[in-house]
Amino acid sequence: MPLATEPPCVGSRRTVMLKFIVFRILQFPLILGIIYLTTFLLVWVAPGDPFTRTDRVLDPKIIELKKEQLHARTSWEFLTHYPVQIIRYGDFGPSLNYEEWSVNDLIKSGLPISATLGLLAITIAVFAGVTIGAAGAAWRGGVVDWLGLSIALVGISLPGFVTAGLLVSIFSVELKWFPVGGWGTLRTMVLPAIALSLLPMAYITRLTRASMIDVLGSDFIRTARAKGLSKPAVITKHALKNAILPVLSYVGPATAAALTGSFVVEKVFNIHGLGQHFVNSVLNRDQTLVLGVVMVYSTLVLTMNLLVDLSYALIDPRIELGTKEAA
Amino acid sequence: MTTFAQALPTAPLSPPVDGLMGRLLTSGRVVTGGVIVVLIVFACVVSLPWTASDSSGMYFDLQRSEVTLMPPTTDSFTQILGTDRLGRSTLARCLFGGCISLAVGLAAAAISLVLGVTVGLVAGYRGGWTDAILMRIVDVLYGLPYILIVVLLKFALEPSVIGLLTKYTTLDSPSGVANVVTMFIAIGAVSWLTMARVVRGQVLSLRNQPFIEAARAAGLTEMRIFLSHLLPNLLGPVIVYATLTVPRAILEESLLSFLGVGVQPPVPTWGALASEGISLALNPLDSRWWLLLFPCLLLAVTLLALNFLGDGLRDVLDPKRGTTRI
Repeated sequence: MPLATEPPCVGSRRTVMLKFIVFRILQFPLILGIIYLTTFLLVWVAPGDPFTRTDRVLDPKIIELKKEQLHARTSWEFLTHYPVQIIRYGDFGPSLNYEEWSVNDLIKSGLPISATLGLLAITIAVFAGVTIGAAGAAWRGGVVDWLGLSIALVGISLPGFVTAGLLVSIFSVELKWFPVGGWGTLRTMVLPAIALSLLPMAYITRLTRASMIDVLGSDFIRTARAKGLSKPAVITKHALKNAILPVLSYVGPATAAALTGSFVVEKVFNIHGLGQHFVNSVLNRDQTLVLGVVMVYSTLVLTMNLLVDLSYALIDPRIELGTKEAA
Repeated sequence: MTTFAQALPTAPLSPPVDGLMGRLLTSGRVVTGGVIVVLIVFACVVSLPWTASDSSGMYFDLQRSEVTLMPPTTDSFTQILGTDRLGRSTLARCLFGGCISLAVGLAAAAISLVLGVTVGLVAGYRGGWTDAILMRIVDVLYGLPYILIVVLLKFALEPSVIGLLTKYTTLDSPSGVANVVTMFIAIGAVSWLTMARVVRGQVLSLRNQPFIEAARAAGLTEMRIFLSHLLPNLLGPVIVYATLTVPRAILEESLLSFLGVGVQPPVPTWGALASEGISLALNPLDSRWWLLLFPCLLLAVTLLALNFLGDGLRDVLDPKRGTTRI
């Protein structure tokens, strides 16, 4: 069996990088198409639709009328007309369950909320995680190190709805610092963002701590200390830059997870973001809404992965593009 | 003033340990994590004859209207962790729920062992088109939100599982069993992806090494190379990731329970108990804290112990891979 060998690197680094970006962007529509097909198959295989519900039985005639009114499609049309409509007009049509709403409107109302929440959470997670992790590595066994360990333990071992519920009962109900739920002002965003940031914060803290300990043991750090630089200066100016790479590889997937995985936090805080719409659409078998939200999610995830691969190449020139072996 | 002697490590250097078993037993993480996991599994499984039989006083669904929402008391064994709003013993429900939660985790690990290792082996060893197609499937499944796959798979599979169970078994409640079984399959269906990627990466780095080439040159069949040359070298990472799959699956099940699509009541899991208890426990006027505390405590301790065990195993079995210690 012939074994694959890597082709020798031709051309300058910049052309290689450009080729890589173009190739990856060209792959986008193909992967999105496959994701569309898979989602359609999953929705189609699962029995039931928004019109046959357990809580109230509708007359077949009414169902027929509703289907007509909402342009409900047969499964064949989901493979032929519907994708064309999405590509040509960017229109996912009306939602089958929320009868007054179109899928585009629901996405437009939910995406900014979920995106703000997710980005806030990741920002908090990165800043707090890197600070606590780095400080914990520099002063091992100190107060900050213990704080990092306890965040990690809580973030890893408790389900999101428990930590979110505890945050509400402590900071909203007891201390009355923040409102219990809703979305709008900055004050309403604090608790949900913290609740969502705990899990990535836990990982980032431990990742930073581990790689920081590695870096702090190396020769150039000792040299920097020996020439008289203070410990904080060495950490922020020399060590952090080298310790950040493993964190970076985690931030990409974590951002995607925070953007798409906020449904639990949204439910606890009663925020009508994309995650809520997504969960409800799956439960109601609201086919158009499921497809719409999944396509938005997948585009986000794919873009995030591309950005991470690119930022790798920018930070560490030794990483070869196009080879994703042993990921 | 720090003297030189103070800067030296004070603990005596431990003697070098030979053998895999020895290294496992001297790793603090493996021992602590393993002992706690074994204790919890033991407690849940040993109590199963009582918690699962509806004639015993410890039955998980035994409702007693005279003791609803009782706080923990040492007067009676069944009420030692309190009772819920139907007068059911929290202890019995936590023990029985533990069996279900752990079974979900084990099923996910088993599926990721079978499916993940096979896909990773084949993709990594064959390369070319096989690799490209298999890995794109993994990529697509990674790209889809897992809750979509889990929920829809569950809905799709449940009727046929109920049909199979009523046809081939004589169970009292095929729908309840089918619900748990589809949960196993649905969570398992998304749990094997990481394993496939890890195994493929490992195979890619192994297959170009001289000993595999020598085996091929000696005329060994592909099956033989797989089984007796590749597989033993993969064992370390495979065990590590299988261990780490268990806590992830348990956590995923608890989120599904919170959304109302997990294992259906009255069958409890730790996640379902926690999400049932949270509104009652966080009621500021009249807190029923025991309904949240005990399931969460069990869940948290088990997850921590399993993560500990996995990390410890990684240090011992897979020292080349960087550790993400939690």
